[in-house]
Amino acid sequence: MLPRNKLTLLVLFFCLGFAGISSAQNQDLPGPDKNLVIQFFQEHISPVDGNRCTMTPSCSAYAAQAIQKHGLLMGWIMACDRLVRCGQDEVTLAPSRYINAERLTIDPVEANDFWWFNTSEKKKSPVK
Amino acid sequence: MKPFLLILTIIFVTLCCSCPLSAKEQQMVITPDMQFSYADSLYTAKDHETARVEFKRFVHFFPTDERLQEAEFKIAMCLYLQQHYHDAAKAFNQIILQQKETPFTQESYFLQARAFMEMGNTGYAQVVLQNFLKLTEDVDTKDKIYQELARIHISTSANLDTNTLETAQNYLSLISPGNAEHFGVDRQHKTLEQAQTAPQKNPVLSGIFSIIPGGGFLYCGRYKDALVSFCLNAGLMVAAYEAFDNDNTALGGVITFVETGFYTGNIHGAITAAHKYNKAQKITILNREFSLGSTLDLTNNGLGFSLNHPF
Repeated sequence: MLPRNKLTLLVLFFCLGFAGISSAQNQDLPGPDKNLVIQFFQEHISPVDGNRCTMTPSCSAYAAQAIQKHGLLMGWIMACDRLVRCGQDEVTLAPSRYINAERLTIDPVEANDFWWFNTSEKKKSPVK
Repeated sequence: MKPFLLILTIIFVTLCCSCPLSAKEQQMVITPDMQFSYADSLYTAKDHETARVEFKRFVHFFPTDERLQEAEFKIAMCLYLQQHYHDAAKAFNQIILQQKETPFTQESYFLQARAFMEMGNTGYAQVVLQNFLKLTEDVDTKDKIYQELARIHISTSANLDTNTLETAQNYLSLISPGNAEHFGVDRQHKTLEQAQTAPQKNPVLSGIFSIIPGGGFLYCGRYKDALVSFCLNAGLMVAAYEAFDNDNTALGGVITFVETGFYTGNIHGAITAAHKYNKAQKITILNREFSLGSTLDLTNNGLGFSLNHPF
């Protein structure tokens, strides 16, 4: 068992990691890669672990986009939801496309927040 | 020396006389007809980029020609067909602002509305058509506007999961009896009614079933999702309990934090699954009448739906 102070550090690391994510969402044009935890995963873990996500955008990119769009809380919930659905029933129900000769299921953030997030505010202004 | 001078003089005179003549022969005058037919042939050949340039040349050099508005309309059409919808909407707007009562002005209203639709601005598309509705007195044109407004609401209903099919039906009801058969209003009404009464999953119920992890997914017919959700949540709950039971409060806290995300994600996913199911049902029925094909919006990484109805 880990000593209590080490466990506290683990919790702090966990919290700081997500603080990094939440600070990235407030920047003007933060790319998904600017999220510290997700960036770390994409650069160091995923290349070793292998890209096995059968959906596009990949789960890490989806999580980054969801956090960027809806903030830490909803982004975290949507990311967890996506991790559960990844490679399961969505593959047979959602449309797919070939990327680098690989068939990937299309499941963007917009396909999962359409019933509660209104995108009409972002529409272009009328022509003058 | 004399014959040499004579030959030189003859050559000089010949050159002086022939040069202007050949230049005159080579000179080419492009008439409005030539310019317009060339631009039109490019337009017919679907070379929209070049056609747009040639129509612009026509507008610049022959601003008094009677086909000026047609050229302007085709410039806007080229932009529309090249999917430059914002520029196309602006070009159609220029034609509308001329306030000429021509078929091109009428078509400009419809096409500007469609350009707005393509940009996802259904609100502006409706405003354009509502304005046109106020301006026109012609019954056929009014019927066409009603049909177009109905089309917008059907498309909105498919895209945004909002129930605007009733509004679409109201617009279809306004089409005059003379044109009702031509537009196939009865057939459209039946399809819309079927879409409205299609078997649906209740999102609230789906959310309530998700209190037991995976229950909502099971209700929506997503068995694999249900199994994964149940196993994952159950495992994390047991792990958190074990951690707290062994006085590992910090580890228990981390696991609880992760589990909270997966548990609420399970509820969110189940509600979304119900909405997705309803949307899929609606689109399947509407597809029978309106060729509502699922298309991919590659620019926004999202999904869109195009709606085509043969008039």
